[in-house]
Amino acid sequence: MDILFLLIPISLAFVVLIAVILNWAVRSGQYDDMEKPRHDILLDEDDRPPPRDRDQ
Amino acid sequence: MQGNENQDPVCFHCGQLLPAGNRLDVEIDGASKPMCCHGCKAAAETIVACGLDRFYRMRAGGTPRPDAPPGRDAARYVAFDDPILQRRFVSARPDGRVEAALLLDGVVCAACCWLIEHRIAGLAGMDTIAVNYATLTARVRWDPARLKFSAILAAIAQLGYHAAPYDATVADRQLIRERTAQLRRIAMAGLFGMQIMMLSLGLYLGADGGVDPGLADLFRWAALLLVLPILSYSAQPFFRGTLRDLRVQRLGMDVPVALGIAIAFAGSVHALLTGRGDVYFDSIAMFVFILLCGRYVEFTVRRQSAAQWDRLQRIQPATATRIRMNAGDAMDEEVVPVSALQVGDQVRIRPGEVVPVDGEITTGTSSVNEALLTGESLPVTRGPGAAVLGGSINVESPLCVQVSRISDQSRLAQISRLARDVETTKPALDTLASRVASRFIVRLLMIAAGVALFWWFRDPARWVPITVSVLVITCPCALALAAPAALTAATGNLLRQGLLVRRAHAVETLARVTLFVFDKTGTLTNGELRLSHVDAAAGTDGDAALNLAAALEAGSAHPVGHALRKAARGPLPHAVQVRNFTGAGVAGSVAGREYFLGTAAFVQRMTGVAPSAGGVVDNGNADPATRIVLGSGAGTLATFHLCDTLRNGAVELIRNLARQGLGVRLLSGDGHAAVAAVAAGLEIGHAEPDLLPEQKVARLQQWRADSEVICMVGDGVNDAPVLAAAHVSVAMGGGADLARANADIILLENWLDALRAGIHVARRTLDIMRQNVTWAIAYNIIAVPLAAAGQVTPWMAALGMSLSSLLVVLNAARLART
Repeated sequence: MDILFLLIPISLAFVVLIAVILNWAVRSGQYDDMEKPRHDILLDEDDRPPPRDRDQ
Repeated sequence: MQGNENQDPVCFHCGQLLPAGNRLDVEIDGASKPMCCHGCKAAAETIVACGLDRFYRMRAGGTPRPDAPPGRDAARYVAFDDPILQRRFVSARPDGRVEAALLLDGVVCAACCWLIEHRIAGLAGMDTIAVNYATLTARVRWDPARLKFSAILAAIAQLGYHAAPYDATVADRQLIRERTAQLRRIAMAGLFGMQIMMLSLGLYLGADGGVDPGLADLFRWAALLLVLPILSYSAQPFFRGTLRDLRVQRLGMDVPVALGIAIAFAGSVHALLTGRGDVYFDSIAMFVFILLCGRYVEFTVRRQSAAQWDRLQRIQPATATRIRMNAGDAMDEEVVPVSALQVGDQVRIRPGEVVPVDGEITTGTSSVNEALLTGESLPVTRGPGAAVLGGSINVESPLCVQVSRISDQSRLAQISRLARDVETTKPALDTLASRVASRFIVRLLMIAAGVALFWWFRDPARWVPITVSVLVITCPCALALAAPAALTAATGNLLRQGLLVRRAHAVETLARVTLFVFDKTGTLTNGELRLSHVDAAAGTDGDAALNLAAALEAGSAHPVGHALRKAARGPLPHAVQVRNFTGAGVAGSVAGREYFLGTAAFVQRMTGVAPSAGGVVDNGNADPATRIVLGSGAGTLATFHLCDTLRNGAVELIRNLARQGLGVRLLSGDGHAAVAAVAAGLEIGHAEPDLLPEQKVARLQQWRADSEVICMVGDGVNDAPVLAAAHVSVAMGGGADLARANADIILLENWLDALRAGIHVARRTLDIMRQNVTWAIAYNIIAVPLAAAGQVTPWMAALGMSLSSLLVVLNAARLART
């Protein structure tokens, strides 16, 4: 059971990491439009490069 | 058309019927496709030229019809390049690029977004464009040195969509920030709460000493670390709410929540440091999470109504065409922002455009659709000297208008203000739950204080856990959830039935309504004309006469023409030399014979013969707009009677309401005859015609004083103050935006019978809310003495509270099922 003394602090670190990532995702608008991105993958054709790359 | 196509030929781009005569074609995918107008042709050609013709294969549903060939669009948007106007919606970025948000109109599917993104991204000088399909907005970033803002708007218009710069107010931005913050708070509370629960489970299972004391301490310290973000970030609104409440010296739902969290936390930390007693970090995480979820639901409803207001602002155009007389009598046109217009300016309004401000016509005669402002569904004819209202639509021919009131003082702005005033003076309807809850909170706090004092003297070591037990077991969760859970479930149920609930109180109030008040046009009736019957003169075939009339009206956008065309059967003859007499009728030749179609007076003037078709004498009391006469040189051939039709479900709804013993009344701004006819058809005893909006409000206030609970069902902007004056208001989804924004409930399908189902659901909701509140109080009456006596350990308290909340939520969920 002693391994828990190591694993629980590690899990705490993971939780903080998850919180940071989630925070970034909400802040950068990943959840703003839940509708269109799933259509985009069907609409964009692979044989022609998209007109311009996104910044991110 | 080809033999294999039995359907009417439609435009390949917009899907509307092709007009007879001149054909326009565009080659798409190697085949020639028909186009209905130059606007569609230009849009289709642009799409093909940009290599975006895949759009036609990907799209779902109709594409909007562009209103004009592209040449004119560029000029229309030039005013948006004005730097002063741009300051309102364009923001500069440090890298020299500028950014703006656009509101899009006409976007119906993801393919539309794709088309706009790819077309705009192809413009030289464009950095990025991201279309948001959920909010129908686009965020664009471009290089102002290489690309003009007007060019972006014009390019979107060229595709047949309409883009308006999104002039986000401070309030809007705050709303969006607030929503993001709430989501983050819920996510954080959930994330950290789950970890705490996991650790707590270990502690609960090992509570009998089966856990190594060192490990148990590790669990407790880890839980303390995990609860800190919940306290400092997620629970912030409760602490801030409590501070606000205390500053104004009143007790809200936040007070016991904050107090419970604070004491539970302080007690837990104390227990952790001294090594005696239990920790309650899991309880804290759980009720913070649950309460935040409840708040978010409430916030979402508020946000929806705000978004509606935003779209409403677009009734008024942002720009206007100002004309100036130059030296030498030449006319000079320039497109200017509407806010720059001064009283006395001359403005040109083309057919199909929205009148930008209130004014007086100087030249031109046209029919103007004021449906949004007056609720009058038929366009009215206005000539030189007549007043036109900002927000109405010019239907037929160009007008020159002298500005008489600037946009801030226009009638549209006044109506909006009136609606908002009524809205703010509306008496606050305390819900049953919050009335009970606020009394409950006072008692809860008094009991908690008493228990704390008692145990402080009796057994100082136990006062913290017992007080926390009392606060946790009586946590107003169940009580706080009682109403919102039922309302949320009911709102979902109502949405499936075609009713969109905009304000939380609406469901509860709808269940208690004793008096239903209806508007007529557009509410009980469809607000569109239909041919009721034809009086043909002796020796004339009614159907043939109808076909003649429809042929004469073939090119007309007027509702009368629409009704006649819809009623006509069989192939129409071809009318030539059609001339329009605005506000009177049309004249044209069919098969070499001259015909006149219009008001009785018009036909009489043109033919010189008094109309007396089929023995029908003009008795003078019918509305001339709904009696249309067809005449020729030989006299009157036929009289067409047009009427507004009752909406589907109106009869069933009114009959059902009457059977339940509820009052039904009709208030209308229309004339006596029309109102009496509708009232008779629906068996409504109390109907009042010829009312101004102010008089309707006065009636409602009078009935309110008679302690009736009023539900107002209406449609149109002139109804907005009336809707706001009722206890609960219902608007037609197809109605005007303003009425929508001000109504508590919206009928999405314009199907009146849905309201009947809505009343039933509302009553059940009220029942379930009462059950929930009763349960929550009964639970507390049993649990509080037990906790106060020290018979309840905190884990039992937490379990009891959870089960109590769960029961309330499950009871409410019954509403969502049916």
